[in-house]
Amino acid sequence: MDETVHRAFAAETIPLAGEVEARLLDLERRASALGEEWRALLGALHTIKGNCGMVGQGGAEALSHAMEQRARELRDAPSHAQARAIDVLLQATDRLRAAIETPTSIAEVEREIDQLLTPRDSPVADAEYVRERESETPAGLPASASHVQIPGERLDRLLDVVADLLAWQARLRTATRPRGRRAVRDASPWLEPLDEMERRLAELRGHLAELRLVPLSTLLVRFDRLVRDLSRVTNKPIDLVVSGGELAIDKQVADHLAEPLLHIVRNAIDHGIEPARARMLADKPVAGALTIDARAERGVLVLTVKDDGRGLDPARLIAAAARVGIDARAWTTEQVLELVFAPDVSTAERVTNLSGRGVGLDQARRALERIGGSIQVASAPGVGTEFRLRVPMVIAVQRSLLVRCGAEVYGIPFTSVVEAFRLPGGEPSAAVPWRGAELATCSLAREIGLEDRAAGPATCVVIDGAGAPLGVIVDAVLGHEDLTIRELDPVFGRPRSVTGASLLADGRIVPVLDLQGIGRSARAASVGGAW
Amino acid sequence: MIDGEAPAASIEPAFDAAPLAAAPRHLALEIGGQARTVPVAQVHEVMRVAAITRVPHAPAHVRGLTTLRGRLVPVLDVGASAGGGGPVDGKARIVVLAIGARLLGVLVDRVGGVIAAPVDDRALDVDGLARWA
Repeated sequence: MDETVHRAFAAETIPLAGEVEARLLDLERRASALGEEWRALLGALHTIKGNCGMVGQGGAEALSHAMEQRARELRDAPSHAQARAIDVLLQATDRLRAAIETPTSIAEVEREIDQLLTPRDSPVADAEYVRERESETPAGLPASASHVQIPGERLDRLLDVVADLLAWQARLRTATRPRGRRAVRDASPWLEPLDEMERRLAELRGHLAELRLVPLSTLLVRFDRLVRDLSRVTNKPIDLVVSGGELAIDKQVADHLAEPLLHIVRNAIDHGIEPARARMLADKPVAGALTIDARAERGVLVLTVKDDGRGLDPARLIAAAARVGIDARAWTTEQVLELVFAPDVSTAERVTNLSGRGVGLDQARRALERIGGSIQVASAPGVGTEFRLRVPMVIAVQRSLLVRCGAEVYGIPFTSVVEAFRLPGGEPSAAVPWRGAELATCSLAREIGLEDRAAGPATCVVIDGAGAPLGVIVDAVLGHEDLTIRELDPVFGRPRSVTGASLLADGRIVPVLDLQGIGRSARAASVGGAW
Repeated sequence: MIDGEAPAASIEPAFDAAPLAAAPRHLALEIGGQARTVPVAQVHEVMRVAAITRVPHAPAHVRGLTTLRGRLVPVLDVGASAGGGGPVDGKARIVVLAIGARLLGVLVDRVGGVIAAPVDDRALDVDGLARWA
């Protein structure tokens, strides 16, 4: 099959397989299935079958037909063996997804089809299938013909062009800036069109940035299945509650969130939630409660993953830290809990096949910081653990502070800034008074490897660092601007403390800084911690 | 001027022109005082050296970012690894290479002419540059 046709077919049909999976999981959860769930399930399977038929995907077509057949039987005669049947259907969904991705012949899916259809009803099914196909008309084209798929880089190119236009626009404005009374009259006819143009360009940029947004549910639906499977493997019943899937976030953010979330959820099930017996003894509901909740807070996505398991044990964390040479005995509880993000500190007594693979929490934190996000943990022994992830919802365009440090200018997204104020004395010290308390500070110049700043006026940018606020000293705040933020090319090798770069309206380039990461390494240097 | 046997004058040799026309052509460069070549097909543009923004914690051979019509282009200072990295003069250029969807700038002392064939050990390892990080 033509490569382009197959890509379009797969892009359109894979999400439908996801829909099938989600409906099956819904049905499994609800003892008395709702008619609507069945309708959605059968509808999705039917559309998949149609799509496969149109592009001649024999294997996937036959398999989806068999699945539809089986699902119809289950709906009409809800049997006591329903759970087992849904298991078979879920396995078939995995196979179906693979068959959609890679062209597959009918012979290759014979075994799955056999499992789905009992030998007794298969001839009937085949006959019915033929009738059904004959009655199908070309009018049954999939409804998504109005959707266009655009590779991410093409959108980025468009954003680059708009950023460049905005820079030219700023130059025009400077060129027409009135000088002297006579000039004011000469320039005035230009001002309104210039203003209008700038507004339109900013609007265009906003629309383009929105095109990169995807519903958070595209990420969260995967956890339904994951949690179900993990629950089976560990033999721990789990009630998963997911909310906030309707929020729209940058595709890039969704991609960066997947691994950290996966890690946290695996940890929660493997180490957090106790086996059913232990839960009964502790007077807890037998089924562990796991919630993934997403909220939007001023352009920041706040994702909370919470379990009601045994919680983190500070004593064990302190012991684990001691093994790698960190003396944490005098630390506050918050500081001790932060140890879960330290690279070499592990409390896992055994490496299971669930956790103990893939990224560690230190890696998860790095991944989030690379997109300007952060992660914090709270936990109470016996009550549970809560991870809170904060990431910008839109990455492509972010309102940012512009700060000067020596001869260099940097962008700092508003999402990571609490407040900025001029230091009254001018001269920064290790701690400054702020909101009735002492605020620890660090020098941005030192943290990013510039020469130490010269004496003179200074400004303090307050960030909400891990555990406590931190003041980052810069020379001056120059203002703020909506920045079109680009990822750095791989040749930069993911430098710590930088999340990307942006072209300013005046044509200059500014690196965009990750103040969370900078604050953390500054604090680690002063506290002597390992993270 | 590139030293040795690949002067700019060799762009259009007087003999055997037909097979050369079909052969891939190469741009002669000088990087860190050494003669280099790069296939013309991979050159997106040769630009004058404009402002280059330093990026904190970037590898030593990555000089920073420059802009080409709104796109941010990393600038590699390959000569820097050979002890260069100093100031650039008026003949210096940024040779912008197109590698897939990426643009990669290479700071060169000067650009020579287009020559028919590269001298093998002078060909710039473009793929290597793109991976080098």
